[in-house]
Amino acid sequence: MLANGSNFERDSTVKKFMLMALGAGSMIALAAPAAAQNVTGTVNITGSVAGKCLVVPGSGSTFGTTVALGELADATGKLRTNIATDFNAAAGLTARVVCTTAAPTISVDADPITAATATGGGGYDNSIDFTASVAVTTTSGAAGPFTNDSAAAAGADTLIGGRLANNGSDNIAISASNFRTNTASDLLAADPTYTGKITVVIKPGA
Amino acid sequence: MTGRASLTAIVLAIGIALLPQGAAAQTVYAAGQPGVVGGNRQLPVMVTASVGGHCGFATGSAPSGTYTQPDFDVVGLNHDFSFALDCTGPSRVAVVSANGGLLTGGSVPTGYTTLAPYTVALNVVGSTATATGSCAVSTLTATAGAPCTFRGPVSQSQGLLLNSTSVNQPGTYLRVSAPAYSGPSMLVSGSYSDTLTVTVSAAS
Repeated sequence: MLANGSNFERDSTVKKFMLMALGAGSMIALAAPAAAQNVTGTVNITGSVAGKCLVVPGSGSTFGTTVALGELADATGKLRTNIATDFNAAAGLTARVVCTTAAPTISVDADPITAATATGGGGYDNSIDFTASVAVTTTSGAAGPFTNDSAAAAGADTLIGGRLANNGSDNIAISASNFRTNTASDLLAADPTYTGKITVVIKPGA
Repeated sequence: MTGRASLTAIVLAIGIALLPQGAAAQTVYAAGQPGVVGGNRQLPVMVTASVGGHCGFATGSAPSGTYTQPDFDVVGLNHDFSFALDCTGPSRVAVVSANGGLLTGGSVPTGYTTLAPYTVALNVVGSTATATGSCAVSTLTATAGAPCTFRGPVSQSQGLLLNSTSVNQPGTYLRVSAPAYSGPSMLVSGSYSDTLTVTVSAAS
């Protein structure tokens, strides 16, 4: 057949084969580019931040100071009337506290200023009551004041009402007022050491 | 024409096509002759080809997994994700961070933050070289204004360049680290997360 066929027929048959050969070659060449494809891996990092409150700068858990009021009685032996002025003028009554939580709480507990050993009664007093007050600044403004009188039970945890301000300034300010003896006419019993305390506790809350 | 005759014609055509021109006029094969089996003449066909270099993660050694660190704001972060390459030529490795830091949900007022920074380091070991790099994770997001040099996605010209082959070389890792948080803004309580996507490609 081939020997008798025309050139066209022979050429046509050869081209068929050549096309087949080219096809096979193309399949081999196409396999290589897939190797340039990017491949991907994925890793996850997770963590948590607990609810907490910190005294800043630093990460302390306490703040405070000692206010030395000196002589508590006036020349008549009664409680000085300017005790509150002296107390509130003392340094160190402010602090900067921040909490990681949105709804921190505060409690205030004032303990009376009492004589270490002297006793009272019969027109004498060995204890001075007062009202402690704590003003708080939150991110949305002033909150409180949160108060507790030394003659009353300790204050309960109370919602501050927002996140504590974290703007570089102190956001806790403690003051005291209404210093008094049991009766205004009482004389203070002599004692070299009278001590009282204001305890402010700020918690992360729920 | 019989089927047999037709087949013979095709075989002859193959012989003509593959043999040098000079030989085509000299040799004709036909059924029954030596070398023609079952009517087919077996002809050797030389095929030459090349296989391009490949590059990817070694099988079973792609970066993966989860690192969990409670109270990372206090204790910091420190973890290596080991992986291995399978690259028969120079390669590039790149990283993209989904969040640009450890992120928790919600919005917070000034002075607080929901995004914790950390550092991402790459150490890619090859047979003759090691490539290293380290960037703040904030520069690894897809939209970072001043991106890290190995911010992905990887391409032949983008990513940490390892100018060496690396086939199952040990010592390659992605490291995440951070000291205890000390930023000016307070991290809020909650669960934080980020995802790092690591890609590898042959380098140009």
